[in-house]
Amino acid sequence: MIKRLTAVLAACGLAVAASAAPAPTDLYIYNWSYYIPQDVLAQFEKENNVKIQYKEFSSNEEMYATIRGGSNKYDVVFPGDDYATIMIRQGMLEKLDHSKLPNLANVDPKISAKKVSDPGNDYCVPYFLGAAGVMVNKEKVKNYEKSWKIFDRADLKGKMTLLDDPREVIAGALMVNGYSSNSTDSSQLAKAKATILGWKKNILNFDSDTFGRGFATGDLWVVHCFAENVWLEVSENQTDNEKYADKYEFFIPKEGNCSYMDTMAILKTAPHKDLAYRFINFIHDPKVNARVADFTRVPCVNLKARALLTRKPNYTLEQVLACELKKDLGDKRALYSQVWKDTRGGDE
Amino acid sequence: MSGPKRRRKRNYGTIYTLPLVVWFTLFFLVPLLIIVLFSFLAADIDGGVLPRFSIAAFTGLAKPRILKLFVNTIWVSLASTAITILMALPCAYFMARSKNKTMLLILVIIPFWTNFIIRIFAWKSILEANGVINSVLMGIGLVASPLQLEHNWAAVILINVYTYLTYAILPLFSTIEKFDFTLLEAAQDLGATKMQAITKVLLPNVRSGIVTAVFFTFIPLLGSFVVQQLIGTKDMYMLGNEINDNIYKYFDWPTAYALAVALMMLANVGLVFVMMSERKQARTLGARRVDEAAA
Repeated sequence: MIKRLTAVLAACGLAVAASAAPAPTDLYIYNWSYYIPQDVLAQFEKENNVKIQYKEFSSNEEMYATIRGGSNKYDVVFPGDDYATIMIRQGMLEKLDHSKLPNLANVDPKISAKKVSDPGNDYCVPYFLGAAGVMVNKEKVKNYEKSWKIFDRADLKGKMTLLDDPREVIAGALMVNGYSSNSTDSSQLAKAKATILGWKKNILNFDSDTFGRGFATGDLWVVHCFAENVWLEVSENQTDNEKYADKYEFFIPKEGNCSYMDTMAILKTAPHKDLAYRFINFIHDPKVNARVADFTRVPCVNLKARALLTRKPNYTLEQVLACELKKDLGDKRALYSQVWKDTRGGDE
Repeated sequence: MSGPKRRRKRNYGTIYTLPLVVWFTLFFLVPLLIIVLFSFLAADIDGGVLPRFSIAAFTGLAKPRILKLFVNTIWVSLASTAITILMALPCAYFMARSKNKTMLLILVIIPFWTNFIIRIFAWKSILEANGVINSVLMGIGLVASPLQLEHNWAAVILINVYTYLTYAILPLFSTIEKFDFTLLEAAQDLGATKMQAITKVLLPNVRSGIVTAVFFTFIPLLGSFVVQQLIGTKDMYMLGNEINDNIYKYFDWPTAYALAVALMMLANVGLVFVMMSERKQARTLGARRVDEAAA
């Protein structure tokens, strides 16, 4: 009965999808917000005579839930490496034909080797490798250690935020206790939980949405963040970050942090696979990739593009290579969920 | 046996309403059934459900933490609803008695042409440290340093009220508009004060509008999560946030659905309670009339 029902529903879905079939020159891209300069997209549109339908997501979870929920119009997606692992496991990603991606040779092998999902780039291609960290308003906070312990400081109570992201926060709490940021050991996670409960006393909120604005207005002094999110709020499109170097500092805590790798992949259900290949290849053209890295100010993953950069990244490639790449936790995710429920989701 | 042929009038009502029935079944009932069904299945580790019966999602809710979330959610929703209704009543009354009803209606609806999140951010720019209010207060020298106007319950309730005010005004307006205002004059002629006329004559007569307004406000508030996430603090975590985190962070769909079912039950208990008290009131009113007639 349920099968028949799903079949009927699927048929309805197909009918809707068919009636809304895009013109053959459309390419559907599903990417993070603020991730690609507009002129790069425009150049691809012009060179290939296509119209890019660009939709943004703000978390891996959101992207995954959308695709998993049955959205089948997208061609290129940008999953984080840990989500790429899941999507490969679920058979959602197309196996890549490397002959259609000559520019893949430009990708730094050190970066590809770091991938957990697929070091051979068979299903997804590195877009960039980054890490979260802490941004400090130096005018308000004069002396500080570049450490996760900054969140223990009661004198900054109500002026700090942590990301509303279990993996990122628990990673910090594990590393400050000297453990791996991918640990699934329950006693280590219990220690991390105690650390987070201590931090919770001092922070204003677990916030992944509005901290950039709060930091820019001077309301918040210390924020756990992705550097580009905050720089975009305080500077002019990240073009003049250096001008604010006396006022703000971003650091990756000395105890270390987890890193994330965002990748480009083609969905199995992609309606325009050839265009999708062309797009991924285009992004790894050195000239194009240099523009992307200058815009995002995340360490450049393309060997040939590095010589063409005009701006320094917000943190160095060495720093981010020293971080541990987030692994998909698989059936151990529940352990992290429990820590989050006991810290974020309760009143202690 | 040749009697006059009886022409039977066929009733086409069922056929005419069939598209609507199909529509509601497909897009209203089926999602509801899926919510209930999924809440009784086992969770798949990568999100989604496994085709295996399980009540783990419900037994997992029997925790003090979840109870606290329920209590928190109910009081915030109740407080927001009470203030919304108290503000919506005079608005609706004024609108119903005004000569420019259509214009006022449009004015009330206009904010809804803007995205909800944008409106929350608009409130942020009013309340934040260098926002409109603080700039004015500091500009005229009333305060030296900015007041903390966001990141508290008052701000969350304020924006809840702002969001749901229209939902409350509309049903109230449509019932008050049908009210026979000469009854108010009659009450005053019979010695009631203006206030008494309103509380004893107007309000009981627009009771159905009030009930609708309460439900339009209270029920969606039970599941809301965005306002407290954007304006609140670490302590303003409610059921809506828990549901959201179960889907997006824990990949535990059955628990999210079980929470939604629990909320639906809660809302239904309220609905049944109100309906029963309404019937009881109608009965006592009817009985009183019979008594009066007999006397």
